[in-house]
Order: sequence, then C-alpha cells, then structure tokens
Amino acid sequence: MSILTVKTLTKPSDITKWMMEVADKEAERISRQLAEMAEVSIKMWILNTSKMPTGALADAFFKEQTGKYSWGIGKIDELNKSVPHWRHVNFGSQAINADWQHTLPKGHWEDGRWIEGDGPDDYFATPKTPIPAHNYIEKTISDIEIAIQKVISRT
Amino acid sequence: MLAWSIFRNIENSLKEFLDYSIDENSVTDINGNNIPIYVGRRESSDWTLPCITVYLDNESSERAFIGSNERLNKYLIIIDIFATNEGERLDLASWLKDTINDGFRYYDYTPSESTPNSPIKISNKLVNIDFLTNARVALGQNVSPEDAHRHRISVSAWVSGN
Repeated sequence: MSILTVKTLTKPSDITKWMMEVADKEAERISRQLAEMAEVSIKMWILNTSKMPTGALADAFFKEQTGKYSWGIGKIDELNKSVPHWRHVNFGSQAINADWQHTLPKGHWEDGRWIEGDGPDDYFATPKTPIPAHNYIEKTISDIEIAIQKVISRT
Repeated sequence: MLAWSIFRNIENSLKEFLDYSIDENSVTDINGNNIPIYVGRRESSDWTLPCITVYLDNESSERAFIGSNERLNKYLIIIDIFATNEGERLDLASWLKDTINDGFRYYDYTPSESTPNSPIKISNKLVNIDFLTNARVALGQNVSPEDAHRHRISVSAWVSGN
C-alpha cells in the first residue's frame, strides 16, 4: 500500500482568507446581477402592460446600491416626485388624486382612436377614466423569486 | 364545449373556498351580510363595500430539468380587499392570510349546457401558495371611498397532487 502525502506551502489562515475573499466577490457579483435582472423585469412589465407607454414610468425605476450586498429598485421619494401616479398604475384606482398629468398629443377622437393633428378641431386631452391595475411590482417580485432559485441552484 | 382552463379553474376554486370559509367563520360586514367575493379586477360600480376581489394575473413556466419539457408552472394571484374603514381592512387581511395559508382544493370544471350556473367539477388536486406581498394600498389623501381602505395580498401558487 502506497501512502501519498500532500503538503501545502500556504498557511491555513491564508486559505480561509482567500475563501472569504472569493465568497465576498461572488456575493457582490450575484447581488448586482439580481438587481440588474429586477430592473429589466420591472421596466419590461411596465412597458408590456401599458397600452401607450411613454417610457417615463419605466425610466423612473433603476437599480441603486444601498449596501455592499444590497440593492434597491425605485426610490419612493423620487418616484413620488417624478412619476406620482406610479402607485395608481400598479394597484389600479379610481384615478382621483392620481396627479395624472399625462396628456395625449394634440389631436381628436375618430372611430375610437386618438388621431394626432394640429387643426382647428384638435385639442390636448387628459384621460380621466379609472386606471386598471398593472401589478408590475408583484410580477417583478415573482420573476425575482425564480431568478434567486436559479442562482442558488447554480452556486 | 371546452373545459375551463387551469386559470379559470384556480380562480373559481379560490372563490369557492373563500365563499365557504366566509360562511363557516361568519365573516360579515357591520350589517351582518357575508363579505362578497368577486372574480376579476374591480370594474363594476354596483359592487358595494366591503368586498374582496381575486384574479389570476400571470403565469411563469420554468423548465423543471435540463433536457426535459416538464414545466414548473407558477401562477400569480392578486387578492384585493376593499374595506370601509382601517379596522375592517386589518381584520379582513389577517383573516384572509390565515385562511389561505394552507392552500385550497383545486377543482377541474366542465361547463354543463343544461345547468350553466352549476358546472360539473372534479376535485383531485391541491393549490399551494407562497406569499409575495401583504400590505396596505396607500394611494394618498383624498382618494375615492373605494380606494381609501384597500389592502393587497399577492401570492405565487402552484398545483400539486394527482
């Protein structure tokens, strides 16, 4: 029977340090990757569930690092200032107090469609109908749950 | 006539389960009337407060295994509570969370031409759930009475069993 002996020139404390560094970098990389996926997901759901998206609501959601391994998507204070109707679009509402400042381009209604124009009968219209629930936040959380499962199974 | 799809089956199974639970637990409004459950987004203006709406919004179909066409289907269910005051909102949200926590019976419905209001149903599976969100819907001050005391519970659901 032969005996194989392996000796390492590295001190055990160095190996522990090296392992911690690898784990640290990996955690940073994965949390950034999940934040990027969440940003793409929420923008996609906003644009895909809107009839006539202007992009303003989708643009207001972006990833922001809040700690070494933590990220946030959509800062509530800034959302309330730049797109005050964001809650109404997600949850749906009777649109009262939605601060709904979205105005259609100048035009007029024709056979149920808004036709853009600059004639004497054309005007700027503001939609006043109830806002249907788009649930883009819930859809994004659902997507991220799947993404987290994938990341866990990969590592 | 086509049998109902899994989407409608889940929605209606949940409505049946909640209707039964409301009756069983005497979940009523201040006048002693059972809280109504509606399937779909709240659109009709003749719905009275308080009420609960349920609907299936989205489906995700992840591949179960590499090389397999088996799918892990998950369904996003949105449950909206429209209450008349904050106390009622909190009570209904707490009751609802505890009630659906263990999942509910899944029924396969087949419409019957002779009795369209009573489709034929077969019970053989269970709908399991994971909570995604459970919070007050805060739309600000001076909103309509329908939006003043709202609560939303969203769950991710999947069907298991044979």
